[in-house]
Amino acid sequence: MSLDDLNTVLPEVVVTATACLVLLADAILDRKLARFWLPLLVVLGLISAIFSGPITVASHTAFGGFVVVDTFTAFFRVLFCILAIFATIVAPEYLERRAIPAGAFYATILFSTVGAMTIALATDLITIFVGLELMTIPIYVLAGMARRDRYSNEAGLKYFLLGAFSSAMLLYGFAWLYGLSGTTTFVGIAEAVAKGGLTDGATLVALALVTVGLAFKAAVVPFHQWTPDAYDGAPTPATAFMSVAPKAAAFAAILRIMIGSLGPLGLDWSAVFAILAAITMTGGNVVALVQGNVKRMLAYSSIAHTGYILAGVAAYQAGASASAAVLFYVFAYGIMNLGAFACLIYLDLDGTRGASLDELNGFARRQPAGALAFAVFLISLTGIPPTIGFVAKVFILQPVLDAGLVWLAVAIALNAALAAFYYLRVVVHMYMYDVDANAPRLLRTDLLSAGLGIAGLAVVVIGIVPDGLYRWALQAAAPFVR
Amino acid sequence: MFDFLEPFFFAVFSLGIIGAGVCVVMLRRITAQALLMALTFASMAGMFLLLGAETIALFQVLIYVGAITILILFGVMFTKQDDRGYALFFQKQTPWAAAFTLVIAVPVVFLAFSFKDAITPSGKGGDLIPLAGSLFTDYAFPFEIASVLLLAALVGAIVLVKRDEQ
Amino acid sequence: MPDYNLSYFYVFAFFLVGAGFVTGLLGLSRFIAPRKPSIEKSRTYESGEEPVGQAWGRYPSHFYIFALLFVVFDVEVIFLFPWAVLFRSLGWSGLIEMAVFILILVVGLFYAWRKQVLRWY
Repeated sequence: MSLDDLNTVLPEVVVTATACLVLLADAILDRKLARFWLPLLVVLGLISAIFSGPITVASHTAFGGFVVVDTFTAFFRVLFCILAIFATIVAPEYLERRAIPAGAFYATILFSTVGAMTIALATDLITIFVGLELMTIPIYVLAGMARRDRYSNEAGLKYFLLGAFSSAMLLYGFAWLYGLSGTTTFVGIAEAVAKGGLTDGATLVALALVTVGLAFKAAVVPFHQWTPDAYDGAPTPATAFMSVAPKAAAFAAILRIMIGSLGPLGLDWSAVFAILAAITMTGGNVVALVQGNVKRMLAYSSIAHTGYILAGVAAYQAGASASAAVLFYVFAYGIMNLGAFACLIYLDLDGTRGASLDELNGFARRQPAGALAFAVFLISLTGIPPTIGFVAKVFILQPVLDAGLVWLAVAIALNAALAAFYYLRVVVHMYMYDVDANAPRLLRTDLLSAGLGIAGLAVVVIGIVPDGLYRWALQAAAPFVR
Repeated sequence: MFDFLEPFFFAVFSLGIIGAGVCVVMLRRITAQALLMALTFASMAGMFLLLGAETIALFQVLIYVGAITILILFGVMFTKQDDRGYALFFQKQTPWAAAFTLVIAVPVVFLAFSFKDAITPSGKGGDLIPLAGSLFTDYAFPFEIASVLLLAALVGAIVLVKRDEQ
Repeated sequence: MPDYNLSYFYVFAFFLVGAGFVTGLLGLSRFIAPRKPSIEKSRTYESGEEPVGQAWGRYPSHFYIFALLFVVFDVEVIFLFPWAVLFRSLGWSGLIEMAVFILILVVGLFYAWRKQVLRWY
């Protein structure tokens, strides 16, 4: 380890140090001081993490080639930090109200962020697996953090059991990959796989295990069963974070492993991915249609969005535009989905559950700013211009058509139309209905409104001028172009 | 003269892993299950020894047979012990699960034989120094990340089991 | 250096002798010791008190933290082994690596202490 090595992973070091500082501050400060200082510390730490690393760089390796910082890494570092900042800003009042230990909550989010960042800079199976575990284990804790709530307990336990199962699956797949190639580096595996092809039955087993393991992590149908209960039962700020960061990290892992190291088998797995993508978006949307609880509906909708992103991965043959579309969509999804879940924090309900449609009646009259933000996020999730969600869908459709997957493009279009029904139904309830007599109390929170305002603005502004972000995503996708 | 020893011990350890593993799944006495799991871990350590990875075998004994088993037994102490069968909500699917596992496991087992000559262990024993070398130079970053992982687990456990303040 | 497998055969022989010794002695005592069981004798010993309830009580789950601390620091010790072997050749960078590793865990210990989860009662 040299100074240069350390400098290369400076953002990770900064986030880890911030997490440790948060724990120390939480241990020392009294409650009143902690309430003010902890979120501030987290946000400052994450912002300095963003600026301590390069935004665009040529590939730079460290630790003897076992860590790589390229444009892809830089893109995901910034994304993960932004998501963690957003999740921190929306949380404080909710945590206070539900007596969830704030210091541990923030520290846990930071740990998960470090794990996600580790995935983005891995060049071999061991690093990426350690990163995946560090990303998910804190999320299990986040899901179960409302200890007195049985739904939260269920969420934590379910997520833990299926998460551990999928990790075992993935690890077994990694073991097969190692057995095939005799190396754990992505480059070495790519060479070995290119030589052997799929004729070898062992390659098929490795490919299947890795695909299933990653599909669990990204909540792809039919490996999604844990998702609704975990998202639904977790405390809402935790849901907001865990619906986006692990998914973004899972797609970072999918790009690194499937394209970066199993790319030579692309023709074989991309067909499977295309089918999985179609099943996922359709399954998620159809079940979301019949949900009465908005939080659960958003959980299913996030499964549907996994399908759209997966379609971009399946179209990888279209070249850089496919990977760039995946990155752009992951970014867009991160902001709009986190925002949509965070809007539910306004409603002060019992336990961790989300609001029913009736409880949202007349929300626009009671909390105009919050309702506007919610409407913007929902419209963006639907894919209506001028929002980031619309642009992201267009960017996904393009490579899907280029790769010759016309049927998949049709499936995406049909699904978007289907999804419009349940997203816009919420908007109608917020704006067109009268307030119910027994409507839930609203949480009074300026920080949440501020965070949602910034995110909502970003959704619209990037929706109108997406060029900058798309160009950055194209650069970030460059390491995957051969 | 001792050529028969390696296959013999391989058979013993395989039996330990598979037999104890099956018992862990099938038995309904949780303490026995925990101890049988320790036996699985110990047999696994034996396998590492056969492969010539004595350091890993030692780690396996220290962490899994030692610490993880203790952790599981601690967990057992927190469970309720009464006449009602526990954790039976998984058990209805046992036949289906068995059939499904068989369908997947059989081809996997057969394909595993294609590794027969793929990788040979680099040497017998003396793996501590190469292991240390690669751990602290090549894998220095995941090594530090592992400590963050342990810290995250610790904080998580504190949050989840801490008693409520009066 | 002796043959690798053979050297572990000695370990195995040692294990066999040890196991045989214990089973032999226990078997012997069973064979020659007088056995006159009575109700009082076979009752669970609870420091002279009348035994109450089942031996398998349920413990409060906050004791779990001790088991977890044990595992965490057990893993740390495991990493110290290979580090100690290469202590000299790794030089300063090795020392710093291990110091960072331990410091991160110490933060956790400090947090546990300040959050009063290390209290035994």
